[in-house]
Amino acid sequence: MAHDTHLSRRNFLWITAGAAALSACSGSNDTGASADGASDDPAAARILRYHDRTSAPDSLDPARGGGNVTLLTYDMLIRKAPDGSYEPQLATSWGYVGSGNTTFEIALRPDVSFTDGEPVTAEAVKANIEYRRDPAVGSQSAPHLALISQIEMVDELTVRLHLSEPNPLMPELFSQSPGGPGLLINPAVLADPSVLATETYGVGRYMLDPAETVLGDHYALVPDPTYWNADDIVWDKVLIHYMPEESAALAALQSGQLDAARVTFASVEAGKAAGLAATGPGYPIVLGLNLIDRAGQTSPALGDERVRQALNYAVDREKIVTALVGDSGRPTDQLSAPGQPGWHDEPFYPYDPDRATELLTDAGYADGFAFTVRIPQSEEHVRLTQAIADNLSEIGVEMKIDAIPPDQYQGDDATNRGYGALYLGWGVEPPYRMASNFWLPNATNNAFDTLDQDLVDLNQQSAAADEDARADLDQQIIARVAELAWFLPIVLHGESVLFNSDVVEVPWVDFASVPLVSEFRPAG
Amino acid sequence: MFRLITRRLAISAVLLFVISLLTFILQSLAPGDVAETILGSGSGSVGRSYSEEQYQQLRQELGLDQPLLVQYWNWLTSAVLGDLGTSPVSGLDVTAAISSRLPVTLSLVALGTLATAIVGVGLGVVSAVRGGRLGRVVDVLSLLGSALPNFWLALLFMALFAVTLGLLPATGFVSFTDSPQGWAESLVLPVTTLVVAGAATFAKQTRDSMLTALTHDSVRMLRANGASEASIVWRHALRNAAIPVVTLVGLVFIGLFSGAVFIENVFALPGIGRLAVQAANQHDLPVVQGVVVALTLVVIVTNLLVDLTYGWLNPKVRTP
Repeated sequence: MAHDTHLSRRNFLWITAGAAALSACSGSNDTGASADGASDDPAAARILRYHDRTSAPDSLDPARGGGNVTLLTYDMLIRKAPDGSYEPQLATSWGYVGSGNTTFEIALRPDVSFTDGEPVTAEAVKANIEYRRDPAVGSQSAPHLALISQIEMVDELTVRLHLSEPNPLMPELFSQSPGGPGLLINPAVLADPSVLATETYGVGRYMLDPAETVLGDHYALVPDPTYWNADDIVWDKVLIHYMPEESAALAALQSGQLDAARVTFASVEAGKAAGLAATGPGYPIVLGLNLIDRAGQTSPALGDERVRQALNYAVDREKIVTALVGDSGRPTDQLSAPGQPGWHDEPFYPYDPDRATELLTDAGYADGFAFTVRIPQSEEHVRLTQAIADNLSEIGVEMKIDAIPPDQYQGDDATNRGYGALYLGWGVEPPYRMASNFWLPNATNNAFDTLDQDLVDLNQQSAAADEDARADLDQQIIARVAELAWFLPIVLHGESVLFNSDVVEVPWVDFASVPLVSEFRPAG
Repeated sequence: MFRLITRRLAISAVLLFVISLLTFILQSLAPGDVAETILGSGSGSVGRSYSEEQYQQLRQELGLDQPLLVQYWNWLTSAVLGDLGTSPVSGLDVTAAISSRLPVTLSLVALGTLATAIVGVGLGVVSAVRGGRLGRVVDVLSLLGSALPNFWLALLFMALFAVTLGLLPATGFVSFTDSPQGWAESLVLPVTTLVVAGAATFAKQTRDSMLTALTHDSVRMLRANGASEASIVWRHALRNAAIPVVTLVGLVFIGLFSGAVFIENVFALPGIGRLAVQAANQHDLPVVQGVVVALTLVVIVTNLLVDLTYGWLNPKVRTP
């Protein structure tokens, strides 16, 4: 029987050793978990440990987005600063040639090389454009790049793009626009671009350290010794984490495992209460409803402009915003944001249920009507939609909510004509770009292909306008969209950054700022 | 014994085939596909940022326009040769992705099962032997553990041991080779959460088995022969009570793989559970298939080990 006891101890040791051995097989998965692991001690070196979002980028290929990791590992041609201005990076100058926004020229910085020593040339820009135009790549910029009819190599460092139709947003496209060609990939790897998903091949301040990276969980970045501007390398190491639970990220931040974290409104107050510095909100996202059935096919009432306007008057945005996002948002009745093109300071639809009832009566719907909205099933979306529905019920309008699991939502929402409205959640972009997503007849989120000739005309004028003229046109476009009441915008909200101010400085300008880790600097 | 193992392995091959086919079909029938994931990735918006033409072109490139069985056959013929493919979403080699994630989960589950069994069996034995007030206290404590919401418990541990006391890391995983101490520290809170939630099952099973074993004639005989109580409990009764507990070890080990998804999410551990959930949400079929195959193999091996342990504990099982 003593034998049994001995076996039991031995089994224990075997299992413990086995678990350790299994762990060892996982390689270097150090996420900086050790509370005071020597290698990650920010006091000993300038190390930034940052939680970016709850889900990691699908791929490190800049053509597919790549998030903050790519912003540190790929320089962009034109850098969009926190205040929204464009600054040189790999491009020293850029601009439209002549009038009409149909020819765009980019001049490159001389004597800059990729990590393999190959120089950055106009050929690289051309190769990057062509790569992202390939539908198999899945770049969001493909439809915009399709407008480039000819890529002219003026000289080794200058490229001139000829467009098949005017486009006023080329500087934006060649900045850090998600999926855009601004983040320059070494053309040598474009022959076999599969490596881009897991490795980095740019001109970048930092390089991916595969030994300390677990793709999809955390990414370790170390300085590139060959980088052209050593002054811009301000960290000895950057660790970017993607923790699935924001509450866990907050705990890691409070316990000193992280130095900064991008968070939603749900964590801002808790972070401040814990003594963390907070900045934001920024990167404005407009939430509300897209009233897609503007011809009244599913619900005839929605075909009447007065009815759609009534819905806009009936919602107490101030109250909803305070309850849902607090100080991390602000009410809106337009598809723009303060500091962004097209924004109007005065509201179009102040809360006025009497006016809403009056408009409904004028339209012949004094007894109300019903329509259905399709939304992704998440707590945030359901709460907002339910709040809207409660407000609308007060003027006799019944809004039925059809909540779909989020992973099944995107499938047919753009072409689904079975609903009166869809959920709207969109990062605010210049009106010219919003048009191709929302209000032109072939827009990706215009399910019924509704046409408003005024909007089409304004968009065409904006396409060819110079910067000053476009500012006025943007205002007209946003006003026209509001007048048509094709949407029911409710809240502009943004993400904030919680951080340890002893370790990191987070530059911020206004609501339009975007919390990019590439802008973070060591404290002091 | 050899025949048992051979028969099990033969059944396992069929099982793997059926499960992989069912997974493939069910995953393919779910609304949405990986082309939508790829085109929609990075937008962070609710709405569509790509055209129907782009979508159809990408579907064609990815072979999603082929009949379902053709797609499955293509996967199967590669998988049989050891190639589980590449994720169309992340570009990761599926075998490499699983190899890097599985050890994290196995560490968590192996230690979780071990700690849960030790605590649960201990509580069960104490409850059976002592009975009375102490037994009831043990019963209440173990049931309380299973009643507490895991998520709440995990956050409570984090707040107390990581944020307030600063004793342990709140999140993350350290591999054993990088730092044995860091490895142990990174697993304390996740494993403790698993133990608190799972020990009650062990305690109850052990208590019931022990109560039966302690009333057995052989125990009366041992007592009559003057054997010590400790010897009766730990050497004789517990061994007789061990077979249902061993079954439970196997079931808990397998069950913790599903529980690990939650633990990995809360504690930000880069395990296979997170990989599986993310892949399923992204309609990433090669990764989902790879994870399912890997986990099916784990279940097969675990069940085989449980059966072999029966034989070790009870010689009657070994006789045909």
